[in-house]
Amino acid sequence: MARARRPSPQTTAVLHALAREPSTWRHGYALCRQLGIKPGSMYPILMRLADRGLLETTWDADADAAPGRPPRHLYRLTGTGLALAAELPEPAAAAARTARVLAPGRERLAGGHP
Amino acid sequence: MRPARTRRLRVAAELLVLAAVVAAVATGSLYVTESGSFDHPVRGGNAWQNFVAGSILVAVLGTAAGGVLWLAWRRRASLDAQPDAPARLLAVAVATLPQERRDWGTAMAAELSSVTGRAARWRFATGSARAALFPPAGSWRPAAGWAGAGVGVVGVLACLVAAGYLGAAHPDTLAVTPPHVVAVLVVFLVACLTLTLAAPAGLRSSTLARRTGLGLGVAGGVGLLLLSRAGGLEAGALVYTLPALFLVVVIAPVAVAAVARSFRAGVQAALWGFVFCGVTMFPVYLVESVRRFRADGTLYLDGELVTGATAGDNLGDAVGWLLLVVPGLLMPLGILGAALATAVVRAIRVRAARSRRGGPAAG
Repeated sequence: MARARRPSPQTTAVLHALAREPSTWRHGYALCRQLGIKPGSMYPILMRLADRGLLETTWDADADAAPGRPPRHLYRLTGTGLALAAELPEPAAAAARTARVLAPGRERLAGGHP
Repeated sequence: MRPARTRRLRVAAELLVLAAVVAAVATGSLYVTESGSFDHPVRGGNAWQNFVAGSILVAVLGTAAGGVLWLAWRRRASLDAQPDAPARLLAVAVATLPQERRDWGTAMAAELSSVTGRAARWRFATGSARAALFPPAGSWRPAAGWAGAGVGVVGVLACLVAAGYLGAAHPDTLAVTPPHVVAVLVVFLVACLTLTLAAPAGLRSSTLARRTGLGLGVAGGVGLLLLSRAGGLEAGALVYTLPALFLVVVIAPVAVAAVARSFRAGVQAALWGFVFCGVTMFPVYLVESVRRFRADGTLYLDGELVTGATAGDNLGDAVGWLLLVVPGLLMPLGILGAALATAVVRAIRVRAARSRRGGPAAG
């Protein structure tokens, strides 16, 4: 009888960060910066989530990308991933950090849309 | 013309650095094995000869094999297409990823192309390189498979027990064994445990290589024990260990590379063969050396009665000949042979495909 392991705090933080804007495709480096997780930890987390069918991946076909640059990998949660993220309590530290990172953008958006 | 010249200069510089490193390692290793005998009244002359000739031979063979490995790796990593050092570091690490994880390597490299700032690029490249070298496995499984891990762990324990047995039977063992010999043994045992349990993904892609190394390694240890007990090693263990290691570390990798049509598989076969031969032959060597010394007072390596030699000298001989000198001489041959076998098999297939396309006219 297989028992699902509880995700690590870092994995939980990634799930919550992706669940916050479920339809938006995200870059790996942006997630690293947002959550303060190093790429050496971030990519194994993303690989495991993708292996378990919790993460959807695609290649960025952005026409605005600089010429000569390879297409980047994009990530967002699948339905199962979103369901898991909803079940998990958000770690306080990660939530605070995310709020700090997102705050200036939110203020700008609020100012631009009275 | 200019980019091609720059590329050639860069490759030459890399090979020069490689040659310097290999020469330093070869000289250091030979010093470890021979320096204990430099002042010996009987073995001293031979020790100096072995040191000088061995250093040159191992350095030349090691540089040739290392050069072939590096050129294959840099082509696989497309090093010349990388813009800077962080990108080259990441490309080298990504080249070790197994096929099913190759997309993730491309993803990391693509992401690095959008990271700006020298420090940020280094941070991203080193972190991603770590993830590429040790990507997560679906469910944890020893790198060498369960059977390989079992042999690896039991073999390492057997090496420790056998060394302890030699020390207990002949308390002068530690006194006659230079500390760097003990250090080499410890490094070998730690490396064996690490490789069998958690080798990087790039070293475990060929099941054929792993099984060949495991099978021949165990057979090598069992063969040494049986032959020794049957009294077939009157002339010393070297009569058996040298050809056995040649089979495991040279012939088998060439065969594996030819069958799998993969240079990488051949290199892995050489590595696994060395690991499993080491952990099986080493304990047998030590235990049998104690038995032999009790029986006739000769050293197990060459069956010679050396004035002033004690049973404790067998530890230095075992470390030197099983774990350093022989693999140092033979593994480069195995790697070069694997490269040659892969090239020959591929050339034969290309020629066969061309003749099939050409039809009767080609024949």
